Amino acid sequence: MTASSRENILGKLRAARRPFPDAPPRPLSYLTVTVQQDETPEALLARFRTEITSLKGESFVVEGDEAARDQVMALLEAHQTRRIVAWDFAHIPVAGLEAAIKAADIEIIQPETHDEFRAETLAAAEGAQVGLTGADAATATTGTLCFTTGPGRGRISTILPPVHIAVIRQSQIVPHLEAWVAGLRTDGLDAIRQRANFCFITGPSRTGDIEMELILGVHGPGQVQVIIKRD
Amino acid sequence: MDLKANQFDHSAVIALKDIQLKKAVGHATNLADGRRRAVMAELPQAQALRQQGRGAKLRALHDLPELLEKMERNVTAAGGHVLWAMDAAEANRHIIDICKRHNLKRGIKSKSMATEEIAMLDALAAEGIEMLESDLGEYIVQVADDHPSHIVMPVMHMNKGQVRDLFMDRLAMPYTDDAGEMTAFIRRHLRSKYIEADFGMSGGNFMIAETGTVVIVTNEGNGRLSTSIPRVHIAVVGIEKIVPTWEDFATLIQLLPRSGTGQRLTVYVNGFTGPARPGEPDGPEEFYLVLVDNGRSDIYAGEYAEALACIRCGACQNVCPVYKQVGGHAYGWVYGGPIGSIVTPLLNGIENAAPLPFASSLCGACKEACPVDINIPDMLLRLRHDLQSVQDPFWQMSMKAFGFAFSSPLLFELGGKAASLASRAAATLLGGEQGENLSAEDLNLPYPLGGWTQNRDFPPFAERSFHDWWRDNRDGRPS
Repeated sequence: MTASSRENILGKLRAARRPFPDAPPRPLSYLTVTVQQDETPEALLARFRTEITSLKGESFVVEGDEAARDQVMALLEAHQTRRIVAWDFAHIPVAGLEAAIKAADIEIIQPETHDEFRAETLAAAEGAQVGLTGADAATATTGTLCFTTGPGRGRISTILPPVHIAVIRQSQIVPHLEAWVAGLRTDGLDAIRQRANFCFITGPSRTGDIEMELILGVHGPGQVQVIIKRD
Repeated sequence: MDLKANQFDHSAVIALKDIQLKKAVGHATNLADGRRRAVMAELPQAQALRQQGRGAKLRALHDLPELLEKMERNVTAAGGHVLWAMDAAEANRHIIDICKRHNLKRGIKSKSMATEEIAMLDALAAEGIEMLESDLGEYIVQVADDHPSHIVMPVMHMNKGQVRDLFMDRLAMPYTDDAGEMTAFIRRHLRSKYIEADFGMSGGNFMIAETGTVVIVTNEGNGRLSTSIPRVHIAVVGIEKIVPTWEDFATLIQLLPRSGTGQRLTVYVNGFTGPARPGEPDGPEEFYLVLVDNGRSDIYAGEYAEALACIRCGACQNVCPVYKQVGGHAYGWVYGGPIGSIVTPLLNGIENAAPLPFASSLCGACKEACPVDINIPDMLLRLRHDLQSVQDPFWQMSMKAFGFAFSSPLLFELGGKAASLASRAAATLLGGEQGENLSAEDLNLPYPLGGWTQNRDFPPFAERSFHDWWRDNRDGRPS
């Protein structure tokens, strides 16, 4: 059945007179949708902060590991955090963070849903107040965090808890989405081919379904806080 | 969903008298359109970007069969499964088979027009498979046993009071007038459902052929939860959603939210390339892509292939003077508004949606708003022509005669003279019979033009034609 439907559909498409023979060829260079004239690190940082603020997200700029650690701990305390879901700390660019969180008596769950303890893991993850992650990159012009999955870098920490805290290095900020894609292209898009999921997250979860009234945190995190560590 | 497009004239009149509906739809469409204009206007190269996006879609359609095969190869290489469905029934059968194979009883899904089109919820319910909508708007629609009335804002036809009453009545929500509290109530209500679900479902806004990636956009995060937590993910996607490259995708993924909701980017742009890989801590263990044709290959082979370039942003609905008055339900099927008036007849047979191509003032606002510059008014006009020629031989004959009369200057002049004489003769004759002094403009024309003169005066022919006048006054001017 499937094989024949496949052949049917493809056969019909092939038998048709090709539409749009005069479609423009693939551009040699694409226009970027958004524009960022000044691509110095400071300008990218400033633009990213402006954009994420306008999206009702928050950003914090810190110098060095100690300040980064203090900033994370201050935010966790402000959220009265007892439990977090988190990435493997190797992928969060703050030295000594795991120890500091443990020392504050906050429970760390790194959810693994492919084993026999799936139900228990999910139930525990559901009770976490904060998701803590790094990110692959951030784009300045749209205030976006870019993620791909991999060992130690799951999806649940970015989406399940009511608060998402992400720590990035300043050098991870690229001008725009097109620049991130260009980076993938130089590696033959391997980062996409070899990983199950990519996600752009642009500010906190929102809805306007009831009379177009903006409400944050409908299913995903209502608060997104980005800590940017200067290089 | 039952097709009721032929009742448009009737449904539209009812909608026009629904003050609440008009207010809700007017409010939402005006807001959405204002936001779209603001974020498009901030792009210095907006028009060039629209053409860049359009080029991407047209190239994709030109190479559609090859790109679909490439998509299939890449999804399969990533460990996913691809199923092909000729029609709605086959798509639903595939989904039900997957559920049986993996013993899936409870699903949760994000918003999808494709699953709406194939009436999947009914098909699953008939098999005893539970499926929950998780987008707030779609969830409201599901609880109300209603249908979405807009491509991206499914409950724009309802106001806050109606949503409150519905939640209080069906879900025992405590009284509140605050949209934030209603939303928080639904968040709590659905939370456990993501965790209990055996499988998650989604549609697809784009398929990127070169990597085999299916992309969805959601603002609420329900799409990411539905596809991250359950063990199985089934994506149902129309075959026209494909783009060749990541660069093409990068353009279109930004034009879509700017046109749809006036955002620079949707909050969650979420892409799937097969199931979770070894070592990845979460994500589905099985990934299925159901490619839905359901009439698209017929559109592809016909004169209206441009309709397949639509990226379903809803901008044409928000600017349409007809849609803004009647809302989406009057159109009688899944897709309302200008693009719906093309897609509904094409997917269901033009005779089953005959009024829709006429549900337009042809003002062109839809084309101007379209992020990929689809020539909607032109297609509506051609559909009208198709309808007239299939339905009314008399009209067809009259138009042929009209065309003949205009085919040469001589015929035109003779025809004009004859019409002028005839109209005056008729006026004299009728006026004489009725004892009145009638002029040509008092005449009622015979069928099929009679409808036109019922409420209008027929313009009288000039005493003398321009041709005549020109011959006498040409006086050395070039002819």
